[in-house]
Amino acid sequence: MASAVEPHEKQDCGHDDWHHEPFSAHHFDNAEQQFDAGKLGIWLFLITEVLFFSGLFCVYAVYRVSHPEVFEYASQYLNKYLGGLNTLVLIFSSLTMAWAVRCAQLGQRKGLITMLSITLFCAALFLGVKTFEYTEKAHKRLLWAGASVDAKDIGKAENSQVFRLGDPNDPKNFKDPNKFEERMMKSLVTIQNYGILSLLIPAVLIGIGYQRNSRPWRTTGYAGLISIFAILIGIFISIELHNMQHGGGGHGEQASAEHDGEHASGSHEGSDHDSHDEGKAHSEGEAHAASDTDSADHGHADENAAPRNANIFFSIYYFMTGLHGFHIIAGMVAITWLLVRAVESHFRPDYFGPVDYVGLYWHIVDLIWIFLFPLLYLIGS
Amino acid sequence: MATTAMPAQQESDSNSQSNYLTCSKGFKSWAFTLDHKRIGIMYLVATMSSMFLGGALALILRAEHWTPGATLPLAKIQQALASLIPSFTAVTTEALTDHDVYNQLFTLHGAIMVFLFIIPSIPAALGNFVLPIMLGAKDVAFPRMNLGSFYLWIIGFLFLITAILTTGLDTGWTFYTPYSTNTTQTSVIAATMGAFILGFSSIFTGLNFIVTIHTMRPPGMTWFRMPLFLWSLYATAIIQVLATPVLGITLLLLAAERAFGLGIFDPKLGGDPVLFQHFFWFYSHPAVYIMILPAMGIISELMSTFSRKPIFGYRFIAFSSMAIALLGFLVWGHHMFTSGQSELVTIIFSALTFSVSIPSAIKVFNWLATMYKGSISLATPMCYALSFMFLFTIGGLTGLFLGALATDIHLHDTYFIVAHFHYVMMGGTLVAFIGGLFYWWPKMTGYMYNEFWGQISALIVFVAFNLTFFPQFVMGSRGMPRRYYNYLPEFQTYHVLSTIGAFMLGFGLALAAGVLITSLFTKRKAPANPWGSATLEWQCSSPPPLANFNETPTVGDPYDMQSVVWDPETESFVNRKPEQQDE
Amino acid sequence: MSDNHDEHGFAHVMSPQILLSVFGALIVLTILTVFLAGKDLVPRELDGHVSQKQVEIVVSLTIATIKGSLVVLFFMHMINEKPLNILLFVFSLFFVALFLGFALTDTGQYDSRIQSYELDIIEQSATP
Repeated sequence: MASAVEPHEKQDCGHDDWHHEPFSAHHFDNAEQQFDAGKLGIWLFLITEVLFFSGLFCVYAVYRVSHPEVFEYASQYLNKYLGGLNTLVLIFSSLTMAWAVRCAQLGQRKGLITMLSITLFCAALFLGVKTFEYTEKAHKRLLWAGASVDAKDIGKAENSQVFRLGDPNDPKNFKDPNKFEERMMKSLVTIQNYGILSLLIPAVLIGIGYQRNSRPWRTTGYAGLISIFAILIGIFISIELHNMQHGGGGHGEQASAEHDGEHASGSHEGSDHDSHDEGKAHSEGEAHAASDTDSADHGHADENAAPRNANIFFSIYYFMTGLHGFHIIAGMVAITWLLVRAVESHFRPDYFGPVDYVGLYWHIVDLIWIFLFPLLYLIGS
Repeated sequence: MATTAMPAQQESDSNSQSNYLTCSKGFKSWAFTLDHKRIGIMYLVATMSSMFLGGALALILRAEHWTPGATLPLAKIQQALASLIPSFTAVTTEALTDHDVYNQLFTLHGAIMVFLFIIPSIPAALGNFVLPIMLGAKDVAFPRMNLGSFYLWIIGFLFLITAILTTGLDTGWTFYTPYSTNTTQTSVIAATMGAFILGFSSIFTGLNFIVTIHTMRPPGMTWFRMPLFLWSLYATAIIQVLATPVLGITLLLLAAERAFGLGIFDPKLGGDPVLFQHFFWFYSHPAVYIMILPAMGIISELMSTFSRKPIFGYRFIAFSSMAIALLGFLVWGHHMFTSGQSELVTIIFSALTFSVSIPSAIKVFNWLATMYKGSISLATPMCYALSFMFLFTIGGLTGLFLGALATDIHLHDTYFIVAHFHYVMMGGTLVAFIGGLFYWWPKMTGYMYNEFWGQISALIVFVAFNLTFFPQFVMGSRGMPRRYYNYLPEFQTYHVLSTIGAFMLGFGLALAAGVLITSLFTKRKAPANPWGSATLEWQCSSPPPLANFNETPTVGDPYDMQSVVWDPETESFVNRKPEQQDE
Repeated sequence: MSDNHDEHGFAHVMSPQILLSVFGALIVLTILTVFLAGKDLVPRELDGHVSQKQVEIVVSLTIATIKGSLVVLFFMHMINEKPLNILLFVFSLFFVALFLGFALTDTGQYDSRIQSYELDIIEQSATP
């Protein structure tokens, strides 16, 4: 595997030789000092990340306390199963990242490459699920506070007052819920199609890599393939999960009254097949009811009128998850960089700092999601 | 003097030929340098340019106040300038009034001075140059991040300049909502993104300093052998790392609010503008200590060196820096006494505000005690340090008036507060910065400046500063509101005095800059240790070699003035210990 | 430590057992918190009670905190970390608490005034 072993593989890496090693910085005395400095640096960086997000948690807390009804109303539009799936994906990627650090510490090149690839895959899967969630919400007009208001009228209280959330049963928002589902699915399929086209980009990278006989280029290309592939799989899985919950075939032939978590957890605890069929039947029966009046069995018919300023919740939702998503993308870039260096056999038991640092960053991204998930998806659902 | 110094230089001739300035040449050797000294010099040039830009705006503002009502045809000047830049006129659609231009001028003055000059000035320019040498390290821990921080500064600068050149900015440097999000037509987003990027530049500097101080200390450099400037930079860096991210998220939220209508700070969408002020001041009050703490560190160095006495109460000064850094996080609400903040929180913040005066006063008393019975030399840096003492004390004490709840209601948003923070930020930070610049100038460039004209510049700055800002205390307490284009005729005397002072101050600062720049052409060589300071940076040659020290420095007490003695042969102070060993 | 070049004392290798059991615990806790969130909704009659909501918030945030601690302690190796780095991290949480604490105290104090003002506006706009 290690076809090109670096020529610096010396056994006698004493302190005097340290400055001749490949990745030693001249101003440090030894490898441990360099590692410690990097470690302290990354911890300080993580602290800035924590404080960065603390602003958003502060916004959340302030509005949660002052407008609890907004959170109770609006969080029903978040799908906690998709959120839970994403949580599991991120936790698994955290495991593989921690394992990658272990591999780097032990000098296991093959294990390191495998673990980093899996981590990258999971990160992109997470983004795929998020793509679905955003698309779905955008179509249901579950947008941030200013989005529904005409740009000229921003700030006119009347507009935000009368605005109702994107309730599918509200004729003001949607003339035809079927059509809406259909459009959503169409656009996601479009994303999938374009996504498949976008596989060309890493393919070009790989091609250049082979042409130039450059392994870093090829590795980057493969990392791109993994990412885009995983995003598409993420979208696919979420569509399937969504259809399972809502019982539709997924292409708009079913009316889909908004099902909240209560309904889904009630009827879909069983195996995939059971829940699919059951949900389908249930939803079909319901389709008529949904057309003229709110489905009574949901128990929140009266709550359908959005409370004042309900869109603040989605402002917070988009900003928090969006910023988190940006951190995921940054992490994917960092992991790709690690992957390139791992393939080049840069990491050794006495030089694994970068893997450790990116690992710590990745875990903090996971950590933030661990808190975002219950705050946005679970509490008040 | 220059010629007599030559023989002494010969022994280190090989060193001086390969100092950090001469070791490599060309634009690229500077643009891609990882050397903390060169990055410090680049920061110095950049921040000083910003200061003169911001200062020029301040002079226009002061000139406008020469008479009540319109004095200068601001709008016409702005249009004339705009016609010079084709793209500018394309963006500016409607003609601005003089009042609009005035609003933009004070906003830009504030934003440039705060974000581009004061915050990076001492840590990133002087600190970058001095910190590793003082510590006895070869470089900062992350040289590439250091360079990255400088380029982030440049990008942030470009964003702010873009904001100026397109439609300007008239929100005040505080970007208060909802004016900044809903009302103003100026380019808030470009400016906030500039400040956001500058914030990351600041974070990287602070992070680098903390790691350097923790991990790069050579053997013998214990925490309590660190010069007090390093303690103050350490405390500053803690604030930079802890507070600046909150500014980052605040500005992101603000930009999103303006661009998309997020609703979080917009009362008409259910948001809360007072929350924005909480967010903003959670950073911006500690940021005040980012500005003043390094200045206090410089003063500690200067007081000890030019009194030729060990610093009085070393540990008290060191710990008071840390105490100021931490207490600085507890008082942000005192900027919001009239904002609609609740009474309970207002009272708590008012009470906590007074606690900050304790560590600040500890420092001032210790500096005074250091001078007591010292052999005081009134060299230019010391002249600036003494100005600092006077001006900072006035600035600090008037801060107590403003921290007191009842008086603040009266004084809020008047010229009193303008005078207060200029006494602290300009009389404190800027004066200490210039003092430090004169102090380390021989080390940075290898040349001595003209002492006489340096002292004259200090005198002019001191007198002119008081002439500018003391009248503002008086008119502020009599009700002259800040940020107003117009004023009542009864305030004219004060405004005229202030304007005269401002132009004198501008002259004094230009003179100081001129003295320093002239030294580059007179080329009077500086000895390794012209002041007799015992800190490590004076042990290496002037200017330092690329790796800072050709031989490992002897780490001792940084304020043991007995360890350095005047050597008439080299016209420099030298370490006593090696001599004794030779004997 | 510098004598031992093979182990390089600064590398703390986590054993697979620890990594896997932490992962298992995280998965179980995630499923638990999703399950409990559904559970709490079943008695709809109790929905109006604030205490029920508060219990829900406390439960899910406690689970999140446990999960977060597991990640920090084991995946992030904090259990083997230098005291300084631990101190810094805990220290930063203190500042987060400070930030949230003051902001919440203040908004909590003046919020009722805003709400009553808003109610007035709604009433006024409704009457004519």
